[in-house]
Amino acid sequence: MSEVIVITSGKGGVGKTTTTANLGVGLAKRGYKVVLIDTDTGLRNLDLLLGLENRIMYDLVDVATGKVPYRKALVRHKKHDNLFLLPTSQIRDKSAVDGDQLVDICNQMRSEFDYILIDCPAGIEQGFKTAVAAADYAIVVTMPEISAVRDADKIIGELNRADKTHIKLVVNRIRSHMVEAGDMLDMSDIDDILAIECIGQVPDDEMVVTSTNRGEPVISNKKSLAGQAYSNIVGRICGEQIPFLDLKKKNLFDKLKQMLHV
Amino acid sequence: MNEVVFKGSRSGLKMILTNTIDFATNENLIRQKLDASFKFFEKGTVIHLDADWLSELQKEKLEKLFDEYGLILQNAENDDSAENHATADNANSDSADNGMKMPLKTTVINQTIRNGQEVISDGSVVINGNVNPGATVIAAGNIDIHGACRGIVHAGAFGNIKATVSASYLIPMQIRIADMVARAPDKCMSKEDAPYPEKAYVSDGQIILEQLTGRR
Repeated sequence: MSEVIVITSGKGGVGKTTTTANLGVGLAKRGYKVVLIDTDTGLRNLDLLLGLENRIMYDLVDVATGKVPYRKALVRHKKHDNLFLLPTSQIRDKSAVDGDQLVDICNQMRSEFDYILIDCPAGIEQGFKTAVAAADYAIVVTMPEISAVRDADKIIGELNRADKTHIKLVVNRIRSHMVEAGDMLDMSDIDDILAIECIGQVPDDEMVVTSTNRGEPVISNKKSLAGQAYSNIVGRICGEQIPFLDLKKKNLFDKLKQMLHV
Repeated sequence: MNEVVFKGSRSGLKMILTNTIDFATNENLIRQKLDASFKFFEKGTVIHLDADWLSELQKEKLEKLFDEYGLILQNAENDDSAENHATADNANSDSADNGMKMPLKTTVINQTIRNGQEVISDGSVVINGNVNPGATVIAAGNIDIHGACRGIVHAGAFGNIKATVSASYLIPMQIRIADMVARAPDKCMSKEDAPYPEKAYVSDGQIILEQLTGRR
């Protein structure tokens, strides 16, 4: 049984593509056969995050227009054999692919893959409509920031309008010290407005940037707190009950206390 | 060419004729005007006639003329009484609320109104859910929100100054009642700023918030 999940946010720069890449690697590590579809035509990034740019031969537009079968356009990940990328065109724009075409492609892929993750472009225009059309459920990524939460709210409304009612929330780039100081929205503020089930709280982590530049998603990095948070999201997608990470920065005293089990 | 004038008013379109020229010329002028603006008037548009110096026969003639263009001409006298009726209803909206004449319908919405969504009703609105920031609710009658109200609410949007807005947590961006506007303070509002259900209404030319007693 395969599942098509769209990762969307409305606002740009909150971490849709990073989340897609990490969830993809995480699901692949668990042995599922996964394909990531980049629908951000003209501004593709997903290939960079996975370090696969130099392997691209055909793209989503070629598949949508029937120029090549989808198998020819898929790029296999260098480390994970069961992770594939369907990149999009960097030359064309969002009008090159429509919702029906994407639904068609996803339906062809369903028999072969366990998870189909669609990376949605920012905005609520054609690109969003295309990306959302095929999805069984949606993951909305937001940040503890008023504009990002507003846009997430708008996107949930748009998803409902497109008859997508199965929606999960991931809150990305949480800075725990700012939340504690009351300078950033906390989870209850966000939950108050959005009122949808949260499946992930990811801290702001510098390792995300370094791993992005290296083309290796941070989920592979055992030391990174963000990586752990992404692994937990993967677990929750698979139906496990995992408590949320404690994102509070521990000082030396706290660490000593923890070591001594008091 | 100012002998025949079409004028828009609150109760609709009005045609005003002067009696300085004879009826035949007037008739011709009207025909010219209608020919010139044929596409402008939608079929079935009601136009009130303001020229009581015309005889019944002449009025009938004009009505036929308008009928050719698919328009309806009505005597202004009827319209005046209709307008009087309307103001009477407004001044005494309680009786209208009681469903004596034209009962206001109530729309019930069992979901959260999110950013960018808009609810417009020509009656009252009851919302079982939140009204989020960036959302708008516009109603001719009252607005009752069983949840948190953080968006823009406009009650009595068509002039009913007696309309009210109530919510379990009334922390909206703006409250508008009829032609009055009140906006939220510049500081960030949270649920703690509205610890009890409140009702907004207009009193002495101001929008007042009042605590509602009873359940939350």
